[in-house]
Amino acid sequence: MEISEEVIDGIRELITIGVGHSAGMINELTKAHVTLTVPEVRIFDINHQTALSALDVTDPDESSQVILSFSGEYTGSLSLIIPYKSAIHLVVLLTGEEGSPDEMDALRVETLIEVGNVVISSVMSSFSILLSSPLTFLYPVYRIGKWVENSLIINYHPKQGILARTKFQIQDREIEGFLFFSITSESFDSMQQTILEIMEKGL
Amino acid sequence: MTSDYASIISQSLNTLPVGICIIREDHTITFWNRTIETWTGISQIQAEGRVLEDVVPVFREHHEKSRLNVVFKGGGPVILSSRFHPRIFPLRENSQNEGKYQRITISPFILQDEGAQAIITVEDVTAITEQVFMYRQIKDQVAFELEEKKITERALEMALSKLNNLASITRHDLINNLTIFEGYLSIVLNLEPGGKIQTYLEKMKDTALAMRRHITFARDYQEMGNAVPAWYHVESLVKNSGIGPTFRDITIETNTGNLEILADPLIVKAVYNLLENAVRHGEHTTHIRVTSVKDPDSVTIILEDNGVGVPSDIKGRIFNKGFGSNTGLGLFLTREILGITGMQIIETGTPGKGARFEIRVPAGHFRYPGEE
Repeated sequence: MEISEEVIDGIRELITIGVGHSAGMINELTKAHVTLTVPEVRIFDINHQTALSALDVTDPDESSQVILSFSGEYTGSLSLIIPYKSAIHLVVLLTGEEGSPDEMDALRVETLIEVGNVVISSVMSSFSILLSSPLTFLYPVYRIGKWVENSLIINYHPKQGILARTKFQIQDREIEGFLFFSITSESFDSMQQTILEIMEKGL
Repeated sequence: MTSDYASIISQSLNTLPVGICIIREDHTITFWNRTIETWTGISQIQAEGRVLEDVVPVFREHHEKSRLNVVFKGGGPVILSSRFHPRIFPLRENSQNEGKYQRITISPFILQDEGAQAIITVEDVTAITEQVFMYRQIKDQVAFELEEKKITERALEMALSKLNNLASITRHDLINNLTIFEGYLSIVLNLEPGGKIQTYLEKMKDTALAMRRHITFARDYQEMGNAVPAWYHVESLVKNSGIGPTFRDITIETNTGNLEILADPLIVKAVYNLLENAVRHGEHTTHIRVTSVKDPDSVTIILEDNGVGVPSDIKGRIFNKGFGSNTGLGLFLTREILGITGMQIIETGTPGKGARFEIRVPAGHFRYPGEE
C-alpha cells in the first residue's frame, strides 16, 4: 500500500504530540524528570515479518505490553511494548524503589499499566481530533510474551500497523520501547483520509 | 434509557463490592453507589448533584484533573494505580486511611440524551498490596540469607583447605620422625639387650606401630567426603579388593550382577576392610559370599562368611571407634565411608556360623545399567 509522506508526517506528529503530553504527566506523577522521544515511525501492512522488520526490531520471548483495545470509527489496539527487564528498570526508576528486583510482581505490573496508560491515553487523545464520534474502549491490560503474537491474536483483523520507537530518558538512563498501533484497513483508510483533509484545509 | 432499566442498573451497581461513581462531562456526580457511601461516609444524597472535585478534593490537583480530562477528550480509560495514588477517595474516619490502598479506573461512556459520562470505580487493593510487600520482604530475606550462606561457605572452604594442608604437613613430618624412631628402635632391639629393657623396647615398638596406624587412620578419615561420589560396580569392587596373600586360601563368590552403587572413592577401602575382617576375625574362614537383594525402594548388599561369626555380647559395639582386637578403626571407618552416600551397615550373622553384614543402599544411590 502506497502511503503519502503527508500522512506519515501527520501520524508522526500526532504520536509526538501525544507522547509529549504524556511525558509531562509522567513527570507530575512520578516527580522524576522523564523525557520521552519518538525518533522513528513506520507504517506497514501487518504480518509477523513486516512488524519485526519495520523498525528492525526483535520479538523477544519476554516483553511487557500494556494494550488498549478500541472499536468504532477506528478499530484496533494501541500497545506500549518494553522488553521485560527494561520494564522492571523503568518501574524501579519511576518509583524510586530500592534494590535490584528481577520480576514484575502485581504492584509493579499495576504501576507499569498506569505509566503505559498515561502514554497510550495521551496518544489516543491526540488522535481523537481525527474522529467524528467517540470510540468505545476496553480497559488497558498487561501481557507478557511475544508482542507481535499478542497484538495479532485479537478478535478483529488488523491489517495496518504503525510502529513508533519510543525512548524514555530518566536519570541518565535510556529505556527503549515501542508504541504499536494495529488497526483495520478501513480504520486506516479513514485516518488517512481525515489527515489529508485537515492538511488540505491548512489546519 | 428507560427509568425501569436505569433503576435495574442502579440497583446492580449498588450491590457490587467496588466503589462506583458516575460523573458527567462537567464533573457533576450523577451516581454514587452504596459501597463508596459506606467507605467514605458520604451518602448518595450528599454526593449526587455535586461536582466531583468538591466531594473528592484530590481531583482538584493538576495531575488528577489532567487524567480525568483525557477521558473526556477521547483518550480512553484511565487507571490510577495504588503506587502513585494510594487513597484518592478518603475513608470515613481519618484513622482508617493509614495503610489502605485503592486502585481507581475511570472509563468513558455515552448515555443517549445525556452525553458523555465517565464511570469511576474504586477497588480496595489493601490485602493484595500487603501480600506483595510481604512477598518482597521474604524474597529479600531469602536473597540475603543465600548471600550470607555463600560467604560462610567460602570461609569454610578456605578454613577446610588450611586445616587439610596443616594436617597433611603434620602427618608427613610425624611419619618421617616415626620412621627414624622405629629405625633406631630396631637397631637397639637387634642388639638384644634382654631383660626389662628388651620388654620395654618391644612395648615401645608396639606403641610406635599403633601411632603409625593412628596417623594412617587420620589420613583416611580426612580424605572421606572430600571427593565427589562416583558410581562403582559392586562385583568389580569385591573382586579387586579380594586380591593378595590375605585371601590366598579364601573363595570369594560374588553374585550382584550389574549392580552399581554411588559411593565415596574410599569405598574401595571399606570393602577391603570387610573382606579382611572376615579373614582376620573369622579364624577358620574359607568362603566369603557377596549377594544383593532388591527391595521396592532400596537394595541390600549382603556380605557373609563361614568363620566363627561375631559373638552376641559384642554385636552392638563392633562399629564403635576404638573397639576391636586390631586397630579398632576398620569397621568404624567402613561405616563412616558408607554413610557419606547414605548407606547403612548392620551385622546380622549367627555366632558360631559366620559373620553377615547387610549394607542398605537407599533409592537413587544404586542402579542397574542396561536394565529398565
